[in-house]
Amino acid sequence: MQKIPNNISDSPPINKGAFTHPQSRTNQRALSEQVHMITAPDLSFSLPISRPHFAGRRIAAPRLSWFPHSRPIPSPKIVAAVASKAERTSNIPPPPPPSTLYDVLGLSEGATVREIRSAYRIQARACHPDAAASTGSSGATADDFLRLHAAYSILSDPTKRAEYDRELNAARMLRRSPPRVYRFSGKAPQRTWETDQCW
Amino acid sequence: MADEIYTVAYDSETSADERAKPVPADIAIGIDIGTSKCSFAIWNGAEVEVLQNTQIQSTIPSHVLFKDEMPPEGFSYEVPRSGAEILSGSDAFNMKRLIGRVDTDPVVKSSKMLPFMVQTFGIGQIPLIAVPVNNVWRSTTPEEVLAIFLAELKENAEHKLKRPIRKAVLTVPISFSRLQLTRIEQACAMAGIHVFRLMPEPTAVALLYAQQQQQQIIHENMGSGMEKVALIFSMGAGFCDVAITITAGGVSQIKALLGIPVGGEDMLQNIIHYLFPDFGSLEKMKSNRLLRIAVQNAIHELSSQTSVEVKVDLRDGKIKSRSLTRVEFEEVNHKVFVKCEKLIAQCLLDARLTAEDLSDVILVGGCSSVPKIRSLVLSLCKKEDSYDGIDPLEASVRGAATEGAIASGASDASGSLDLLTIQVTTTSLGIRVDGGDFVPIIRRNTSVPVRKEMVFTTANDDQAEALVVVYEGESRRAEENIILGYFKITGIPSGPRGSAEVGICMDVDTSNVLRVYGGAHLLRTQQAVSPFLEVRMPMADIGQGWSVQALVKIYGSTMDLAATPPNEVQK
Repeated sequence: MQKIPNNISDSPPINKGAFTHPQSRTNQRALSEQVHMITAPDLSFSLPISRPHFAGRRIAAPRLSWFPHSRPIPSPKIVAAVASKAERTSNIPPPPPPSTLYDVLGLSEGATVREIRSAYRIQARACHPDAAASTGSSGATADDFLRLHAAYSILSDPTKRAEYDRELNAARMLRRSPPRVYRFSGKAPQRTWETDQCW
Repeated sequence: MADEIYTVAYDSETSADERAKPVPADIAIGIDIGTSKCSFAIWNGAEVEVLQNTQIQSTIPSHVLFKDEMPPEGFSYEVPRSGAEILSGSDAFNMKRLIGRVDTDPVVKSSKMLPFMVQTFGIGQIPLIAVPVNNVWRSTTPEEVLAIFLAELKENAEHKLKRPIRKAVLTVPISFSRLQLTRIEQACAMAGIHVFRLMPEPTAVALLYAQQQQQQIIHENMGSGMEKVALIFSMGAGFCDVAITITAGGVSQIKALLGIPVGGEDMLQNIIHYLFPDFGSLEKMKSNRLLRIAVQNAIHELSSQTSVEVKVDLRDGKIKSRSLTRVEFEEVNHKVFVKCEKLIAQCLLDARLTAEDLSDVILVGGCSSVPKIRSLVLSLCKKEDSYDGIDPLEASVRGAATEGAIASGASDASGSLDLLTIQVTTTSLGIRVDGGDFVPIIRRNTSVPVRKEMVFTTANDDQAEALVVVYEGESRRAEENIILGYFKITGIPSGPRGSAEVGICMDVDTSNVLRVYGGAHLLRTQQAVSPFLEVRMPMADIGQGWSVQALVKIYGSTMDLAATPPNEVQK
């Protein structure tokens, strides 16, 4: 798992123990967040994916509780990502719900922090309940904003984003998805027979 | 997707009368009820107009004057400067410091020095205030006094605008608990005002800042614009609040909020005590009042002078005179300044930012003119000067009126109302577990709207019922936080302790309404046993903490919830 090539140019290294991120401040923030996560387990972490509308019907047994549930299910993020990926390819008529947090923000996986923030703001103006009320756009609910904010809070945090990316990649590896295309060919190591032997 | 929903209208494309047209009939008024001064403003279709009262003042002292005729019909629109005015009746003020507090609160205790009676018994009950009318003590509550004042304010506004006022956006201190906010709503209801929204004071300023940044971008045609990070330091007579906001493209994200009930009033009391240690008793109420005003004026003068002469004619043949230098003033109030410094440092820490990240520092409120306050804020933020585009005394009320216009659905062709503020929670919200620990479910500084859930378990074998006690605060001990209410979950499936699952979900919407949901799950499934309870909080009132103690006494720990170990939650 440790050697999955990381195709996102600006996310911190996978190995949590050794931060070598060039920007010291980001690094600091990431560390302080880590401390925060240790002292205070934040269950909202899995919120966006376990939301019924978002996660799709496949993850878990139908829920009778009427509030969106962030209850533990085995590796929810991975399952969710895979499930909706499958949905998308198997020609199910209704438009699939956004499957990754990047899709929620309408970004590609290589998006920079600046792009993430900007996308969050633009989307917030559309789906924040206050904004939706004044523009009169129908259909936008607090849930849309909650989903957007959950995606943003993970992707705007270097540590959480790295973790999410890793899980996303791991899920794809497990599904034996088609060979990955490296967008940043200069940065990603070429897979060769030798490197494959190291797995 | 987002592009279709909102459009940006440009200034040049609209004529003047087109711009003045869309004013919804029922636009909410903005009210800034300060500890010492009040103001009100409204969006007039093109800009925010700060309204004046019948005495042509735009800031009105927050005093209610009870005159000797019954019922109290008098209303003071001036700080009673003249002795005749003071002697004609008794005034009550500083209600914002007293509202929604119990008599064991240190802030209430410090109000004992005020020239009217604050009746306390020290038993955790709501204090009464009393003023002498016709030589008889007349008792009232802080809410009532505030309501009288708000009603007068409303009448003034209606007279000015020639239409009834129903809705209002009010600014409140960050440190207000939900119980205090409820009391403000009650006072508004008594005055016939529907509270449209209560917004923390510095976030109203943040809105104004976002508006100015947005206008600048439209004028300079700079595209989406840069992200601007601003620290807003707001200090009035009663409260000191700090907010950090990130603004770009008309959206301001509040990153952190922090406030304490410390303000100019504390400085004033320190100085009175320093200069005239023998004063402050109720017997000498009238001279105490005169003294207060004299010292207050002296402190104001110290903003521009380095020393001042405090001279009080006590009207009983005695004249008290003392000199006060700025250095003395700063020494006496050293503790206040240290508290302000700590507040700023903590707020930066909460926002995970450093002084270098800040683009602007905005100082507002009456105390922003105190030289020491200015210098300490600027040096902590490593800035040469503060942002000068905002009037420090009208910032809150203008922000509130802008929010009132936006929330009322007013639109403006120049795009100056095309704004969004993403607010955060001011305190952590959670429940009591393990016999007295506080577990936050929604943490402080979480963006709203927010909805979070946690799973808890039973503390005893075969426990069928659980008491969910909801608190707000930052202490790890539940009893040190403020209780908002409690409810009972029944029908928990029997099993050894730690096996049952109880889900608690908290939801705060954009109007800052807190709802708590709770219910038990069937064992090893995620299905709810019974319909989940939905409770709107706060359901308790101030000084009702004892009823939980009673419940605990009856049931002991038989109805306790326990925190689920994190590893069990993950797996």
